[in-house]
Amino acid sequence: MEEFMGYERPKRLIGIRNKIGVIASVSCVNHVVEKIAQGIENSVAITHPLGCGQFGQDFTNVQRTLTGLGANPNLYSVIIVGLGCENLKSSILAKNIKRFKKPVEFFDLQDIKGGEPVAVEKGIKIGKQMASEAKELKREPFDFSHLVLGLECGGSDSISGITANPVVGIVSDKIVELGGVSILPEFTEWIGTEHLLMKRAINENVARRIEHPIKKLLERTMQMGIDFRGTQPSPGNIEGGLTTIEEKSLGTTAKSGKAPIRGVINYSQRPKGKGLWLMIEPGNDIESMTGLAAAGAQIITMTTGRGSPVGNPIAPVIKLSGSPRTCDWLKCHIDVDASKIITENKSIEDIAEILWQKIKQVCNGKQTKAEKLGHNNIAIWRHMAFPFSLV
Amino acid sequence: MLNKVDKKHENDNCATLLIDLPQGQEVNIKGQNFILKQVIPFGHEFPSSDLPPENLVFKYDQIIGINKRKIQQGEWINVYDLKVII
Repeated sequence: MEEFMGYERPKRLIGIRNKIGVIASVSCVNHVVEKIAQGIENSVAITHPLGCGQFGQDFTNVQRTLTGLGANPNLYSVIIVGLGCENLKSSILAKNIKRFKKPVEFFDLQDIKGGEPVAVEKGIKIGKQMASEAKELKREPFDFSHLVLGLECGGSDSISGITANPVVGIVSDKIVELGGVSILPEFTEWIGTEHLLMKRAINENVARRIEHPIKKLLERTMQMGIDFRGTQPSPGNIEGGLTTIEEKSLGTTAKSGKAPIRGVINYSQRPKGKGLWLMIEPGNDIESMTGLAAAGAQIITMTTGRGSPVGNPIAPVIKLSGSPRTCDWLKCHIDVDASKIITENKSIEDIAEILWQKIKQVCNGKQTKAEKLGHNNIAIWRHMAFPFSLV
Repeated sequence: MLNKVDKKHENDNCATLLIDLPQGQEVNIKGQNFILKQVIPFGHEFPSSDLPPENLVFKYDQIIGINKRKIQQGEWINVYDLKVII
């Protein structure tokens, strides 16, 4: 049986990393959070420009995302730092994350006599205690039904769709076959392939939920005088040989293999069962990977024809490229060289096997290139409150 | 370089160039030989048969767009040549 070595968390969730998360509930304390994380071994700082002055969907979205990041099983425990007067209270985030039965502590800077230096000292003290508890945990074997895989792509070229993306499709199908979960985000890159995705939906209702967000997006942006179809492909995609949004989407969705589509989830929402899920998220790599980690993905594969250095502080990101130039020039960022499909006549299946072995190694603790280089990018998708001029 | 061009499906009427080749180079796709009529960048596409204007362009056995002008076999299909159908 195929297995990986992970850390068991409460509620039968399995982590592949054993980190301490220090999360800012609001941007005002980002610097405090960074200083606390610097003083704790094996910790990550989760900072962002949000948490206050938000309302409606825009607010709940950020709350759900930060809760999901804290709940991700790659984090042993969480420290939440707030300011005190913000919308998104640190106490509410702490309460949400505590539902996952992991150690959670929180405090607000305005409640600390002495301000930042005292707050940093307090945070580091809590964090050091957590880190020593985390060290006691040992990796144990688990089957792949415990794994949630995120399917990212960024900087696509027309080679991606015939090399790295179908490679990931094979591995995604394998995870689904082994009882795990796979999530395809970036719904703006399903445009033009709805008919194919809908055919793979497990029922009529799921098919409608695939089509609905795309129709709604195109309608609403058109009402604002924007033809969304004109925003894709991006200038870099075009230089890489992509012509239309349909061509880009056909390549993008190849990452999801052939498995049936179980359902469509909201940004940062946890899938409600095993199998392949689609996530509503608008095609910005960092926002997308933040949403995947918040949805519970312990590991992410990212195909990048043109080359991208990005990583995620919680879920390790394995990068593949099908471009010979990218695999050579940006070698330090690429984990799996899929350009051998072109240069050495390797098959898609050959590279899929290399990727599968890489996934197992990374699950067992081996660092990805983005981890080694320290790429810890967080961005939270905003349901923009004012996407039009007010002047 | 072993695979110089890639045509994903027999119904496709375009192929992807997987190596930088000079203008005038002869290429072979599934037994059919023809000349590259202009410099086509790595990773970009060209028609494997003459495409009249307003023709559906197929890749992966799926429509990726409609070409606005006549594109001859071996010419570059660039982003300005195709319009979306959705």
